[in-house]
Amino acid sequence: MTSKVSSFFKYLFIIICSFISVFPFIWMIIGSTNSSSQIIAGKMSFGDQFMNNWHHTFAQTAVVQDFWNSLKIAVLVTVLSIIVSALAAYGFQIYRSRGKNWIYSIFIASMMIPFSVLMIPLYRMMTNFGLVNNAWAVVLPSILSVFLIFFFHQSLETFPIDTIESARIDGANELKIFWSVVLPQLRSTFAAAAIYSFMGAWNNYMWPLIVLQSDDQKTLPLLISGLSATTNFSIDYGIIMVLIIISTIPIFVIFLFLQKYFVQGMTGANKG
Amino acid sequence: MKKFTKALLGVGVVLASTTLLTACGNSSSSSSKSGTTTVTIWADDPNFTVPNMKTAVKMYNAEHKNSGVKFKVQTQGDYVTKLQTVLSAGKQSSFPNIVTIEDYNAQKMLSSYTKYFNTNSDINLNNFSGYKKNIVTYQGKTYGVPFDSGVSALYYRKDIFAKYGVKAKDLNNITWDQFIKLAEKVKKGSGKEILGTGTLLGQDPDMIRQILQSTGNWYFTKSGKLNVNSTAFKETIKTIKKLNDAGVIKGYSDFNSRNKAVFNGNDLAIVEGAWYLPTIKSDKNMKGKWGVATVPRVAGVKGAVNSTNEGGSSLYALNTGNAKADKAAKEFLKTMYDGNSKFYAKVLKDQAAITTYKPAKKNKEWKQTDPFVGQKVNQYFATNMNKIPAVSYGIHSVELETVFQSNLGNYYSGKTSLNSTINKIQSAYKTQVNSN
Amino acid sequence: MNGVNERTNRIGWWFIGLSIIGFVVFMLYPILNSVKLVFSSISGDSSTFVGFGNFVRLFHDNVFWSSLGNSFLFLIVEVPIMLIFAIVLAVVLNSKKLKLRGFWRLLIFLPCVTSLVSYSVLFKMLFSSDGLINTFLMNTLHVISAPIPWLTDPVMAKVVIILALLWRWTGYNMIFFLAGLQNVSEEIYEAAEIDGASKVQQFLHITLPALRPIILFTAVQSTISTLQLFDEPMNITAGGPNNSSMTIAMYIYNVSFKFVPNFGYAASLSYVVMFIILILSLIQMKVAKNDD
Repeated sequence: MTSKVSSFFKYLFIIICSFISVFPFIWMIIGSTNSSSQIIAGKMSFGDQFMNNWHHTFAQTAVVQDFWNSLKIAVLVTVLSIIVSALAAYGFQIYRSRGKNWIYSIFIASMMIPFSVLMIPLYRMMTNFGLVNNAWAVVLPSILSVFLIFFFHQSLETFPIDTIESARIDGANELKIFWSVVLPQLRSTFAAAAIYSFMGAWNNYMWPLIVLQSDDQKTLPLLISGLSATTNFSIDYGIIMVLIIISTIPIFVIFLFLQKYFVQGMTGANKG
Repeated sequence: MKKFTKALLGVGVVLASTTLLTACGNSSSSSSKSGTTTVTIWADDPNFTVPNMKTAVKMYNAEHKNSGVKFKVQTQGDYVTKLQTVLSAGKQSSFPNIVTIEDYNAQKMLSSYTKYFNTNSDINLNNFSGYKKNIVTYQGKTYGVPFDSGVSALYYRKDIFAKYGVKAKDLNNITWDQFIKLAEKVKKGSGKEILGTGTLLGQDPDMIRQILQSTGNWYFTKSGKLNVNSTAFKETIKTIKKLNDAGVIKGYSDFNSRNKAVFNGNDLAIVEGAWYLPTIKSDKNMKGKWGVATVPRVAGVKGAVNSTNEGGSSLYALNTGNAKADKAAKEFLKTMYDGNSKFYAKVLKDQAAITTYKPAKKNKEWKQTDPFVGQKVNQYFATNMNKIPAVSYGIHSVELETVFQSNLGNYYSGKTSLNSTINKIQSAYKTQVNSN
Repeated sequence: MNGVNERTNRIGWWFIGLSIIGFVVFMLYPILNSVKLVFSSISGDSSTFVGFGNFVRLFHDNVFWSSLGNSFLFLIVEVPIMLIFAIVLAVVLNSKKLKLRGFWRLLIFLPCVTSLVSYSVLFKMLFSSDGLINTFLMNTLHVISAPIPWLTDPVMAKVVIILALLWRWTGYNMIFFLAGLQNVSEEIYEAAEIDGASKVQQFLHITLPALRPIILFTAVQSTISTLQLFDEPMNITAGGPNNSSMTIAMYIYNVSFKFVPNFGYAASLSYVVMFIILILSLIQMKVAKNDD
């Protein structure tokens, strides 16, 4: 009886939280079926402007190209930053030494520096490299993610060292140990890191805004903010709603895809 | 796990190589055309300045077929942030050649980055409305070409005002006190809001700017000294307080909320620059319901007029270190923006761009009756533009307006007196712009 | 880890190598570049050496203190609520008995797929005085008779920003807890069950200690991001009304880009924020250690 009551409250809690989470999305989808002035007026029912809004979006904005630009940057950043961060975290955690601990502390401290301080020197550097208006100018500074190193470092803290030691005794070289002994154990960590990294790169705004200048290099957040920045003339909220939906889909898909690895992790397959 | 990692890596490698290829492709294409000069134009508003610049480029190219100059118009979001970062980095080769700058920001940019701006002495400022001269010149030199005007008007719902006995002629050339009386009448009868501002009352600089400029004064004296302890400034905020006490002004939380109130008929009047008219006109159902009148004037200040300004921008050529491109940029600005009335007629039609270029006003487009309003609106803008008192916006307007935000709200609501408000503004401003 | 010998120690450096190169080029160099700004007052392209003048100035700068206060308020109110919610949600969504587990997880996580700019725009529309929230409270629930001035009241404006942050970031933090819970073996719970420990006891004595590194991690991370809070107040309330929701990051932005640009003063303000974050993080780490 009590377990029934508690499971009722559990579901009630989940349903309420989910509803709050999802509500703005429902509203967004409803918005994409209404005209701009109806959206401003707060219309809360489905309209007949859906096809129109999509048509306008594809006709009036470079959404396909901007989507591709965003995707290119996000995938590169995700792959490269995960490789670099996992290696580094492993190095810091497993091969501890005084020098490495020092460097790790400096890394962590650098997380606290607001980006606004770095922006102007970084911009100057990118012009020296000749990378202004090039996707690499966005990708390169994002590869070093102290946050991800920290994250991997934390999850390696509970990693059973014996496994590594016994692999060493078996004569495996260090990179191979990392690749075939450690990596498979960190599945859920990788999944979370991938989601985190992709999301950060996908939604990155301030830095791409500064370094990407021509229209053919722009990313989706730049497109959206550019369209909603207009204060004087009418903003087409129909288009904005469609663009927000489009920019939401990839992360949604990634999460669905990596979600499986969480579930797999939970079946206990990764417990040694 | 392995599959997943391999898949991810695979995608990464493919993408990395394509990006590398496209990146290389880009750089080679721009360097191979070394014979042509590229002029890059940055514009802030995808619905206004961008199509405007594109029209200018198109017309210019049609007349200069073999100029060897290629123009690129680029939209930039968060325009001021971006422009300032690029200028602060100081890499001239990465500068755009032509930029638009909002008039309130112009002196700040010109004084902060003087050496990065090119003077443009070919521009004849006598061709433009007089009030623009202070904006585009710095230390006696001409840097910019005046572009659009924010000449203000009182937009009002003439159908509803008429219902409560207020006619067009009652509203033109009146004082704010007279306006308040009329507005109270309409408010009482209709129960609607009268004057809407695009931000909350204590935060809204638009009304202050417009009323203050109509008196021929600004926040600062010509030499840059704070001037809020002047009759003009005091009368300005007193006027807004009077409007507030009478309940005929309403601050909305943002532009959209105000637009919403305008569209659904809850707000009956707006005092704003010429650029606001297209927003009103975007609701086709309101055809014939809106009227345009002059902005009321302040009775207590000598020389105050019924003409003023809110917004507007000008165009500037930057010093990019590439002599050919810099010269082409200047020529383009001179040819199109100081000499081509046909261009101005087209952008008036397409983007409702209200230029400050006087010769353009001879064209018939400026004398036609606007079918939506039923008045010769463009002519109204053209005549009033030349009556706007010239002031110097100075370089610290934004700082001061931030100071207003934490002080004026209390004054309007009656929590602080006029004198203590002024004192607080003065001392807060001092810390804000403290130059060490 | 004393057992690591010279050779493996050296191999360790190879693992770190790439990240050190990245750090030196994209962090260290720009940081060193900005340190010299701290001692200058910069107006556009002209710079004057002022020594510690920038720090003297910020000491007297009321706007700095009030925006710092606002940032702290967001930190103290929002972060604990969010982390508690995130842990509870993670535990509930980790329960094997829960049906449609993956589906619920997806829904809770969904808010963090939105970009900061777009969700701020959505919240602003939802909470406007005649927006959906007020309409719902007034006409559907009848709990209020007049619209709540969400965006126009100094207290309510802060509440809206906190609600927005909770909406956007709870699911995000939940993911980390969920990932952390995967490293807690089921057997411990089974053993505790046999010993007759209640669910609450299990939560307090098994789950929470196991999550400690993640709690520390999310707390530090949230502290950093809250003290650098920018997009939400910028896009939802623009810092108003009467500067009541202006954060320190917004003030730094104003000094750099809205006012006559003084990157020297902006850099000094940034370093003060960095220093505060550093101290807070050290305290958090210390507290986490003492619990051992």
